[in-house]
Amino acid sequence: MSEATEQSQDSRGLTLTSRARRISLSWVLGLAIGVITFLAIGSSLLVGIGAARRAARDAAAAQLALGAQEISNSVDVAIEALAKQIGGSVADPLIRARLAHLSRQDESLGLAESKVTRADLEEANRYFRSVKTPLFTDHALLLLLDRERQLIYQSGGEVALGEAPDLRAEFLDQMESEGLAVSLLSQDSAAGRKSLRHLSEPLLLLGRPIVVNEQVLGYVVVADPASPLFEKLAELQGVRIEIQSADGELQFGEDFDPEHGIEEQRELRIAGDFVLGQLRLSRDLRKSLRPFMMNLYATGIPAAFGVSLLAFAAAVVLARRLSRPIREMRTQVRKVRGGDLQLKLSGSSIHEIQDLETDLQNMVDGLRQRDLIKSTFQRYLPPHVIETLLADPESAELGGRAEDITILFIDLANFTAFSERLAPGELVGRLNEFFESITSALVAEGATLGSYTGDGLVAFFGAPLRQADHAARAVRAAERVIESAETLFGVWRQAKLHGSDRLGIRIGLNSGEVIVGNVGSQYRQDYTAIGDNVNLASRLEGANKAYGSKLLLSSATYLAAREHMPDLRAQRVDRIRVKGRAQALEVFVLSQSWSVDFEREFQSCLELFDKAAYAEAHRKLVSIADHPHTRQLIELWQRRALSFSEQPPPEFDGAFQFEKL
Amino acid sequence: MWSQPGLAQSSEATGQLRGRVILESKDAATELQAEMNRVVIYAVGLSEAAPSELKSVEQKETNFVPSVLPITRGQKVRFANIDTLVHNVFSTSEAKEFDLGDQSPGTQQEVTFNKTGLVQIFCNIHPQMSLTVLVLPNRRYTQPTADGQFSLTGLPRRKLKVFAYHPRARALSQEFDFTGGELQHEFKLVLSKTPPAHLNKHGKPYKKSKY
Repeated sequence: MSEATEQSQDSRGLTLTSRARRISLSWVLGLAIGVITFLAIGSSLLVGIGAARRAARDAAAAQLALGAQEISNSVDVAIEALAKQIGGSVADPLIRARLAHLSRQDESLGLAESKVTRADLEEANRYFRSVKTPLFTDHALLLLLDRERQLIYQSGGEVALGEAPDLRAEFLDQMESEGLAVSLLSQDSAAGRKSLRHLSEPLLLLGRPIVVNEQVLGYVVVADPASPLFEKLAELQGVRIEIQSADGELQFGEDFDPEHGIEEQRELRIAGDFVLGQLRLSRDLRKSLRPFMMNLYATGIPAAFGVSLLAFAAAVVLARRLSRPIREMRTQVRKVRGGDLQLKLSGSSIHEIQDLETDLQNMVDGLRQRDLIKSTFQRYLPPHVIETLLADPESAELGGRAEDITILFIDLANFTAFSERLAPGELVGRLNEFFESITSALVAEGATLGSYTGDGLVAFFGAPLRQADHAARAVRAAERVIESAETLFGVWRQAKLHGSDRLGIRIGLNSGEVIVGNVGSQYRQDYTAIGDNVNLASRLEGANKAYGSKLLLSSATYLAAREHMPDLRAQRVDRIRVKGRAQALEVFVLSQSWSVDFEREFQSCLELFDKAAYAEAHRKLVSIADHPHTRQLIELWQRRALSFSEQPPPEFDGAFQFEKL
Repeated sequence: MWSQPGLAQSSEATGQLRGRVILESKDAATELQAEMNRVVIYAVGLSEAAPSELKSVEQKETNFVPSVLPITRGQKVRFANIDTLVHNVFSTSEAKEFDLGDQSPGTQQEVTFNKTGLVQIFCNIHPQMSLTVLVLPNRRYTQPTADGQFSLTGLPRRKLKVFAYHPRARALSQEFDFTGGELQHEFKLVLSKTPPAHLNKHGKPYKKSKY
């Protein structure tokens, strides 16, 4: 999904999300639910339509079946009634003979054995003619026409056609004028059909040639517009009627693809025995279903849309409810971005959102902690140390703890004289040059910078980041500081700054347990070390004045540093007692610049002094060769040795009072 | 077996009609090849005695096999039920009315057809079963091969009317003069749609069944 959103940065470094694809939860949910609802309704409708279609089909089939049955029944009944009315019955042999001709099956196949002769037919004709009363049947108009289409018998109506009318013209005219629906099927079916269209509503006809001895003697036509049969047929709207007989086929109604319709077929039988032909009714279901389907579409589709819209609206409302806690979260997160590290979340009942809120809360808590650490230490610690701390914020322990560390007090000597002639702006500038150079040196060894003390500063190693070799680091750092400072002083001397030739640096190192922590109030805090060992380092720094040294270490520092710097050379220069501290403190300087001989000599002087051999000590001290930077030290000890040899002190425990240095 | 006066003798029987039957159907679903073996070509105007040969019709898989059977007047037909179901063979045709009753699987019955004509035979239990027996006055009949070729032989050398019949077609007839011996003709039969439902032996429609 990487192309879903693109993130870029603006000029302030803020992340922008481009508008490549942004879809609101409301829309997604709304559309999804709307579409699903529509599909659900749509498929239900389809199922319903399917069921309706089947029901309609079954109903239509039933109707057709009924219709076909009635038609065939009617024809059958018609002929029977006819026979009755002419005084006979279908059992009458003569009638049966004629009916046999009507059915004609065996006859048409050349297999009929019983043959009706012309004489028989003429007798039948005479018989029919003798019945003068206008017969009307409930069912059929029976016309018997001879070969020349002359009417030889008719039943029903009051049409007197005369003896030999020309059927083609007069007969048809008369039939029409009487309003009788008459059709004629002739061997020339085209002509017959023409007459069909010419006359009103012919619906059923049987035009059967009466064939005797392979001769067509006449025709039978059966039709009755008033017959319930016709009414029945008229009811069958959209029904296609086909009548098949041995003579051919007749069709009424439009042809259509049988797949879309249903069919019903019947035999047309007379008197139970004689099959006149086949009747087929078929109906195009599409036509009959259409009004129903239109209705369904008219109501169903709007309903489907309506319900879908409703579902869509409901989904949108739901989605907005869902997205509200997310939007609130966004507001809160923006506050955090602005610096307000207090996250207030409303709480949601949806557990996925709850989990997100919890994680956000934890994240912001973590941010606060890191923020605190950073803001606390970024002025004291180099970035890489801060990163280490941030990786384990718990180790920072800002509240205060006891730690074994090494403290450095660094001071710029004779700064006052130097500052006299400088303008305030330049003064601050020079001071900062100094601090810049020495803090670089300190930070290079991983120091924690403490407070600035006017023209000096405090640094320490071993807190807040634990350093096993804190003493060694401090010693190395101190050496670097001296080097950097000396370089800077050289530059200032070159620039002939007033008082620059008398500038010096003094460093005191002590190691031991102190209390470290964030001290101060909400308005200003410092990460500092507190305790006796801190005071001691400060005094050592000051004590440099007495010995003319630049760097004094306590024994603790020396011993601790030597563990990680086995080649470290330091020489004890004094043993002092500090107020408030019972134990005497041995004070060392770094002696790698001392020659081995000088060191040995000096050490033996100190030993003589400890043995109270003051005079001898004095003699040795005088004879000791000069060594760079040690004159003040030697002179101090010479004075002490002389003084003590002249007047030994009553109670001397080997340590000198600090205050009296 | 007895001969009748005027019966054509074998020396006269040299007239032949050869030709082809073409079937056409308005119904696309009709398999014309399958329908070809339901065509019968026969001649009328000639009487002959029936052969002693027994014709056989099987009731098999709820069908009559064959479904069209030409025979000679007086010939016997054996109805054999080799199906697994009971059948009830009957006909209400004028040329032969009969009812064999319930016929169990594995049984058979014989019917003699003594009148010429078209006999429609059905099963009273299974409406889909249909058999047409053409009872002909003579033995001058043939059925075409699958490709429609036929050959009607042994005809007397005189005028005869020849019919081409198919249960679903309007029968064709043509008068031929076989004085010359062999003639050629092509019959084109147009098949109408499948025949409709018939009535059962009591003249009533079959009860609709699911099976």
